Amino acid sequence: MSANIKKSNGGPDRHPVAPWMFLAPYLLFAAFFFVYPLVYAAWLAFHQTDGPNTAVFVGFSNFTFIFTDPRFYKALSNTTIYAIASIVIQLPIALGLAMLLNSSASRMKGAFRLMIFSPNLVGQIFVGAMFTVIFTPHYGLFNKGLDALIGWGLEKQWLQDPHLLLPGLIIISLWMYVGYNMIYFLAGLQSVDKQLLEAAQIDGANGWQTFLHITIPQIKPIAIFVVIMSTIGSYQLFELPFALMKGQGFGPGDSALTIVGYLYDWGFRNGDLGAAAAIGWILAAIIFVISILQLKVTRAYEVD
Amino acid sequence: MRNIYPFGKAPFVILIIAIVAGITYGVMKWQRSSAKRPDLILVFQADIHQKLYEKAAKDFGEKHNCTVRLQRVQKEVLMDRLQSAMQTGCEVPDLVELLEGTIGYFTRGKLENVGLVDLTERLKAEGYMDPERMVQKRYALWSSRGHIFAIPHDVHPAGLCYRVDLLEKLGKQFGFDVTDLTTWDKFVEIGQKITGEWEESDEALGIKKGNKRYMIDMADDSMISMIILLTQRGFDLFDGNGNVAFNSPEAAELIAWFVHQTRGPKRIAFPAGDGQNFYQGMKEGLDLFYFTPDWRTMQFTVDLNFADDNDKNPSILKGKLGLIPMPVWTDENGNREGYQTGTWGGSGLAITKSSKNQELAWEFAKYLYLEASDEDFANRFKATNIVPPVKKAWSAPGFNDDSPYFKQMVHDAAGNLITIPLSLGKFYASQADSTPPHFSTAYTSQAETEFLNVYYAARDFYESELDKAGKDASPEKLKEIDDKMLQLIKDGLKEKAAYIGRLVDRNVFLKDGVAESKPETEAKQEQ
Repeated sequence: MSANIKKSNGGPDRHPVAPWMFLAPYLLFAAFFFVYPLVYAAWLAFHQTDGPNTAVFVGFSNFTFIFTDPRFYKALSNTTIYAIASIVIQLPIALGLAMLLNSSASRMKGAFRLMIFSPNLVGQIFVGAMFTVIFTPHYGLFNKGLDALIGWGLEKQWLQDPHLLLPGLIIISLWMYVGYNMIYFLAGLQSVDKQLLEAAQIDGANGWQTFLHITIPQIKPIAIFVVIMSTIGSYQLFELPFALMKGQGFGPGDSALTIVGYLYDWGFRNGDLGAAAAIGWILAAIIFVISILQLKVTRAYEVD
Repeated sequence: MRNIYPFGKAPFVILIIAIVAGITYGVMKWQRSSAKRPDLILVFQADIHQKLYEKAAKDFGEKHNCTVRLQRVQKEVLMDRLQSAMQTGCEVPDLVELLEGTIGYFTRGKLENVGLVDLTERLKAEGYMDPERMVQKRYALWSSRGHIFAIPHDVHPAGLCYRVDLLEKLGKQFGFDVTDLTTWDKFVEIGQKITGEWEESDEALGIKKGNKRYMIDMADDSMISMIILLTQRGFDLFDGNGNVAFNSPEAAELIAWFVHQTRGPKRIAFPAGDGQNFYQGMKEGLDLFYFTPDWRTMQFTVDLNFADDNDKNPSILKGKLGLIPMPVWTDENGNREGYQTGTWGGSGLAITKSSKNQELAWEFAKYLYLEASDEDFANRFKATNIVPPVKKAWSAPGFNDDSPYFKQMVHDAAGNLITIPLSLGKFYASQADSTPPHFSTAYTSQAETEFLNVYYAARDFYESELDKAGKDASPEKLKEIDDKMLQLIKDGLKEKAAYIGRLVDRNVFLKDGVAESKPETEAKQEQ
């Protein structure tokens, strides 16, 4: 009976190939754009290339070279500093702004939300081009502002000084991404159980205690998500420093060189796609390890 | 519906969309492939070249009964697309105008795999290696391992541009004139005197009391200034065979010199930046001198709106810019070391190996660059101020005329300092043969980065040691700091040169076909 029903409904017994036909476009797409590049990248990582058509097998030499290349460690340290700064500086500010805008006392909440979020609406390339002007010594808006406010910084060469370029990048990303992360925190804060907050107030908890023992645990999943996304995003940083340096390298002393920038250099400046593929695998491994760590943190949270 | 298509409406719509899209794509592809390709396609990036090359392309087409298409493409896009297309065997243009520093991207593999036609024998056979006809050193920029892969479009000797009105004022105040600035020693000596602050406001000059004033604009976030000076001294990052060449005492001395000019109490340089901020600094007298190759005089003319006669708000700099040749490097006896000038920028015309009309492309390349008519050469100079390496162009009509916008300060017969018009053509052409060769390899950009790293390390060391020593440091202490810095630079250059050497050695494709003998372009270098 059930077999008859299946048949009358045009189920799998009647058209066993049909589901595969529907899936075929995606499977073909995935095979061509995901599986093939993955396999090819693995093959490339063990070759030295002069463009995609000329390759020589070099064994592990790409990896051994990268792990003994000071530029790789410079890229790794720059990216890690940027990632840490993104979390340690950016996220508390994003949370603070979210709390400010979440409080009922805030007027013009919508306008402020839009203002703080709007830098994220433009791409990194545009922001990079814009900040090349804003950071100009003597005449740039940022330097003029600093000089007017604290009497310092008029001649500071944010983009020309290897000690200032990475801080400059962090300042830009702060401007760009605080609003983005604030939106997540705002969503988290709005979902905090109001009954719990009221109960805490009735029990005599002050603002800090309420924040620490009610708000933070309630928004913890969102905070973890934001931390993971910020970390992964930071390790994939490329366009901003590239645009900031107008595509001419990665700043004085490689001070804006990121891991993806290092990969780009090998792939497109040196034309060695093999070394670039090896760097890609190393980057994937780094992000994988970070993700595992984040997963462990998440599990720890679940046990709590 | 079910009788026609049994899986429902939505899959049917998807199928129809897929069929329509497929047919549309197929038709477009067929249309594109059936459209007749022109006989020659020339790709370039400078927008001014579009107008200048149009007439030549049309005339050439009529003369040779062929079609030539010009395509302007943005610089980075041109490089990326061209490299990718060459490497993957896709269709590429017949001729490409490349920019300085890019030849290395195409020549990092085996010579036989370079996607550009080796023009060395053609240039030799047709007499273009004759120093009477062409500036020979300019081939260096387009060579790899002794083989020339592009025809140079320009020479780009650099001079120093300055504000005539400001230098007149300062000359009177400090007792010098610009004709004194013939050596870098003298330039620095006077620079140290006049670097400081403007003491009085002067609305007509655009300066304000208290504003900073530096002798020269020197960028230290890029190699632009450093390469001009390094090549002027007769050195470069690589030699003509692609070997690392910057680990030299002279390069170390240059870095130390650069640190002294950009940092410390005796600094004379400040990076003016670019765009609006650059011109704002120029108007306010932030820097007094600017490295200025021929092409930059046209950039100033356009950006500062000199040529707009109807401008109701004329630039305060119109007619106020002057030029002097670069000061030269001298030895302890005052004899010149290196070249009269340095160089900045450049373009070259290459023929792609996969062009099906290589002979026609070569004829067009010659027609465009080497054998253009007097009228064409004159029009190009008028539109760009660029001095070509083809010497017959230097006598084209208008080439030697005085510029309406640029001046020079000279002494008259009575010894008085006067300001007279300047012929840009004469000024730059007279230095063309004294322009140093400049080499470019696949590793130039990394070598530049590492060279700058040595400078940054030296700069940081110098600043921190000066801070520690304090303002009243004795001359002995300052000498000690200088000596230590120089040693630091030498060690740094040695280490970085070894690193770049390691990168070059790692390239298995360069191991074959490296020329043993020196390239002809290098052998012919004359100082």
